[in-house]
Amino acid sequence: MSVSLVARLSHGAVLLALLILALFFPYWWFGVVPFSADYAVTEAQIGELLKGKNLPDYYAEPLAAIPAEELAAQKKAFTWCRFCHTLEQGSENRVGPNLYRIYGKPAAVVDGFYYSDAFLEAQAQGLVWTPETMAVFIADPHSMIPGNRMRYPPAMGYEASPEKERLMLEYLLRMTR
Amino acid sequence: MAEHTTPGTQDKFATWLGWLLAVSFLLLFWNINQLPRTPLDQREFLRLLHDSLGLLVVVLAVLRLVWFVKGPRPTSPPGLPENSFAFNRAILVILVATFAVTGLVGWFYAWGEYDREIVLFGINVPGLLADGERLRTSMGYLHSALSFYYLMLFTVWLVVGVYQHFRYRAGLLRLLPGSRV
Repeated sequence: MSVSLVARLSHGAVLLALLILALFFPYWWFGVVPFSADYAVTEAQIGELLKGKNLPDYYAEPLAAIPAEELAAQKKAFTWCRFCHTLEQGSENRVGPNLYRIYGKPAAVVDGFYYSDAFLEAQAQGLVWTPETMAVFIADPHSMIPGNRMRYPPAMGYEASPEKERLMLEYLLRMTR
Repeated sequence: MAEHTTPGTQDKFATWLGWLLAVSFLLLFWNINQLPRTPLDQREFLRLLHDSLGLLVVVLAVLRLVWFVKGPRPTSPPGLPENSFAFNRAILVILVATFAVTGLVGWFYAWGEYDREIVLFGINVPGLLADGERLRTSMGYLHSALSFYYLMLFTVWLVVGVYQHFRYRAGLLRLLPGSRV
């Protein structure tokens, strides 16, 4: 087989260009970065960030039981969130931070997660996660915190709606306690 | 080994490897799609399956790479210029190499995960590296990037193959695993 040098070089260039493109894809598509952070926020710092907020303990009261169909609908609505977030106590950070007991916490306080500057800035501005702030965030994450890395709604095959977002928020409150 | 193939076809061993690799990869791809849709506490079986299928794909990919070097070299289908055929072969070689590297990177990724047992076909594999957040995040990213790469290569493979069919009458069945190249 005699293949010209130009053909070999152009084939190599195309395949290399695709590889370079692919190396950026997890960031573009999921907002994930290839490093973690030596980042830890102490209880004292959290207390400082919450000073004057007077928020209730969102996890103090048990939630009322809901029909299995409603829970299934919530779980389904939350499917894409699950791709990036763990909800259980002690679970690892994935593409996004662990969300255990997220309600009532200041923004960007999960240990070891590499937060975007946008989220650190939101923390400095006093953002605390409540059902209300979370609802605004989920409805349009990039209006509320411009430049953050969360890719929601997912790039393809997903249609956001207020009803889905309601189900998501309820599931989040239910599963992070 | 010096099996002669007619133009546009490949030898039996390459054909079998191609089919095995395709079927194994399709199973793995199904598994990859199921994992994020399954709650974390119910993923154990899917993870074990992912590890085992991943190893199978790595083994088959390495065998295929060896056969690219050692096996008989197919010639282009009638009418298809050699430069164009060489692009098919280049995509295929890089695709198979990407399968192998993705699997190996996945192994390091699994080692980086906390409290994660690696069980391959029922055999527990000891971790040779200390688990850790840096290993997990860096290898996880690379594993994901390489997965995007093979999806891109698949797409280019299909686009080039369809183009070659309409431009040179090279045939569409050659895009599937099998004896046609």
